[in-house]
Amino acid sequence: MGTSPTSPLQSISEGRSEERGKRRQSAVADLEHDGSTLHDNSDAESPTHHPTAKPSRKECPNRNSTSSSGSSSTGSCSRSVSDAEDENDEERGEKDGGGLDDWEAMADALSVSPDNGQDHQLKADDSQITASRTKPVDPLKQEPDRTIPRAWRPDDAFRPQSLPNLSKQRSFPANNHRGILSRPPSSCPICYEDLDLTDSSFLPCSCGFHLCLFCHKRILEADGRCPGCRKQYSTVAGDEEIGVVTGIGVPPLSYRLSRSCSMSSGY
Amino acid sequence: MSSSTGNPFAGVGGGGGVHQWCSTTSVSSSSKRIQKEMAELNAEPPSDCFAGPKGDNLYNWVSTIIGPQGSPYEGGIFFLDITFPLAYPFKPPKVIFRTRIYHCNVDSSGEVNLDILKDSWSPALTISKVLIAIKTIFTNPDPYNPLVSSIARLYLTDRAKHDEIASEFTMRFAR
Repeated sequence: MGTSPTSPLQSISEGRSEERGKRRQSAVADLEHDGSTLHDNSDAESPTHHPTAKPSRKECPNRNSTSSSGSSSTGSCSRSVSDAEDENDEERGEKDGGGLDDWEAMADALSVSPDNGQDHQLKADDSQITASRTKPVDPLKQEPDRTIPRAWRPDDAFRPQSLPNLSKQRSFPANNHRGILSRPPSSCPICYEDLDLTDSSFLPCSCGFHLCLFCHKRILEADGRCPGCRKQYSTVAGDEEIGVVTGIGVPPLSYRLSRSCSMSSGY
Repeated sequence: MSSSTGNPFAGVGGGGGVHQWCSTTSVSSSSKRIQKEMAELNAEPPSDCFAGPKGDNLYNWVSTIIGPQGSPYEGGIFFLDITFPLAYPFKPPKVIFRTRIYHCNVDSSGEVNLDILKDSWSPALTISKVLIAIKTIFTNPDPYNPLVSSIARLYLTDRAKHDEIASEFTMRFAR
């Protein structure tokens, strides 16, 4: 670095960039030439641009020209994005802007995928870099993820009110189709807690009213009537099942199951 | 359950014993249920009805019902206090008329004679359904299960006279 540093901040950033440059050169030997041009560029830049509160507009074309010597057009375009970000960081006082830019450029000049690993290694070196670096890297490589449209959650604050409500949709066909009646709801209609697998397969009453085991226990402790049809739980289940069996012998399995369920939940 | 002012369960959280543990579980389950009902009421309230917590206490609600058109209670705004018991929804909510009304199923203290608020209560019922039921007895009183037998008698014998008095009460107390 031949130039005299104009500010302490600048000197640090130059030191960084030098260090980066060395590392870079050792890591990617075949692109030595490109690295050196970048180096020169940052040296030339620092006295002219940085004292006057960083005109990022001017820097971008500068660097684009250097990167165009060794890299594709995608690299240069991504650099212009990251440059703007880095300039902001520098303005805020994060001191590694210059070095970061150069490394960015190198990463872009190289192929995209293998550099990610090196990026992460460098991040481990310097925590401050990670803070500023995640910003410029992310929009490049993770933007597609971010822009993927996601479904609104029903409890989302920004969910447009015009969107149909899932709970409404769920309850609507239940009136029309008889088949859906047998499908258990996702939450207990009594306590609104989620029904787990045991709960949703638990059918204590022939009317098909689903509820969780806890609420069923509470009801058995009190009057023991099904909330859906208001009939007594045990008699309804027992009568119907025994009637189906047509008489004598062992009660059917489902009957015993419902009894054992009620007993186990009752005590 | 956010604040302790007037909260019947203010002392529950701090203590240890078995009894308190039991009541804590019932509080949490009932408060979740009441909060859900509140959200559903706000999302799609029954027509001419409003209900919500009176203050910070989730278990004390106030409700307003607008007298249905075509009934002698038309044009009146009736305020009701709704109190959720700890065991809600396994026990019915208490509904009290705060506005005076001439009705055979509502006595002078505001007590409502509604089967679903007593023996016919089901945990599957909600405040929204209770409000709809109360709106129904505005238009269709049940004189055969009266709380004020004189009003019920008048309703059965001289409906016009009954409606006239009811309308007069509405003008005087519910406006």
